[in-house]
Amino acid sequence: MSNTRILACEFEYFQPGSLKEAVDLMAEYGNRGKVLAGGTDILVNMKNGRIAPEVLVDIRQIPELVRMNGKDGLNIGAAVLVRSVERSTTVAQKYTALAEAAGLLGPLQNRNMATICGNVCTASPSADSPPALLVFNAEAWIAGPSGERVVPLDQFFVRSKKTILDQAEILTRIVLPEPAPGLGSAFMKVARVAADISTVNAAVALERDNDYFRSCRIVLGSVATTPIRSKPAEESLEGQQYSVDLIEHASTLASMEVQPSKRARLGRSTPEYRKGAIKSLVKDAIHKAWDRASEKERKQ
Amino acid sequence: MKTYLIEIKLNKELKEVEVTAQETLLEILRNKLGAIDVKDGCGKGDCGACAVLLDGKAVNSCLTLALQANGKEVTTLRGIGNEKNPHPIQNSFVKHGAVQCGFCTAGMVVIAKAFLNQNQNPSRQEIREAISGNLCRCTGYEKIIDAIQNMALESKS
Repeated sequence: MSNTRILACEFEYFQPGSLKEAVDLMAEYGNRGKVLAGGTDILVNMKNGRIAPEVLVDIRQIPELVRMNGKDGLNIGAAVLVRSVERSTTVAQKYTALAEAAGLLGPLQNRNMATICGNVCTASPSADSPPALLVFNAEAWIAGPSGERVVPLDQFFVRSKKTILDQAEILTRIVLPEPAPGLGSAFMKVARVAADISTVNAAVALERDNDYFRSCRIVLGSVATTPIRSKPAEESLEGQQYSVDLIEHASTLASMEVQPSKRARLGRSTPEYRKGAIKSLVKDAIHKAWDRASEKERKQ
Repeated sequence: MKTYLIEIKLNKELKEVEVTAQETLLEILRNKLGAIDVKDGCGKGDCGACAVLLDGKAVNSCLTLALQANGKEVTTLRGIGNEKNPHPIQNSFVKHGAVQCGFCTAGMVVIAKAFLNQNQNPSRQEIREAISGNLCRCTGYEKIIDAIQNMALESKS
């Protein structure tokens, strides 16, 4: 039994003022420490007794981690709030799918607390931000005792709730390259109500050559133990002329990616339901992204 | 256990309070500062009964450590309006029958305030989304949405 009224485990709390201090603290405490950003996952897990860190390293006061920079790509610091990403006009224009995912990530007060990087680090298969970051070829910047490393975000997730982060490492920022001009994108999800955990979700980003698909990226969430790209669906579109049948076919291919999971049967929905939901979700998201790509083309 | 002395501005009044790292903002508000207008519901960010404004932004105080609130401004329901001087949102809740058992009301009013600060002309759908992190088990939400929407309309006219 757990008691979510109190934090039963004893821990020491640090609020470092610089990244170096935070890295040193994590190096010192290793698996006994946890990085705290929004707290909407970690504190719940601590209250439920799932984890019991002896040290919390709160990174919200570190100046370089609270910054978001939209010049020459997008740089999202580890302490940048979901709400800030959702409300950024740069994000809405250039990375529309990400703005949509941020807006649907949870209720208002949770979006005011949670961070995009925290959503990524929790690595829930049903998380909303990872698919929307992955369609833009996001990179994860990681700091640790032995220095900094940069990893493509599609190599960041190992399985449900497990990332490549070493015990002492900190995800410092997520960097999205400048999108191709004319790129259109969309994020959509199926859930009981918008703020709920996704039953399935999907992000699409594509470029057009008039009536042809030049390139396309499709990433699905909550269909496997990590977010996954549907390459068969992408390849079925690339170089092809737009048609309703073509998109129908691509979304069928995407729905084949749904992996049967025992947990899924007990939990939010069955694999059969997810297949159907992914099919219509991907179809709608491709149409949306296509229309947006065309709007951008006309503006140029 | 190690304690820390923190300073918060609770409903415009400066307060000093001794806290431990384990204590949440919700716990110190209710147990040490007497702010029992903040309700303790689920304790894990699902129900929104404990919502307060932290430097003007709506957050769940059950998932905010007391130490995180150090040096910040905390506004609870009573900071928005009280019996003698109710806020128009509170009047609207009363007028539209948006209060039944009342447990969710504190959080609902706090969220409504934060939401209406940013959106003066909301649709019903937008209001639904804004209060989606606040559970009510009595009203069925419709009357709460009526109250928030009419408050927005009246304050415009």
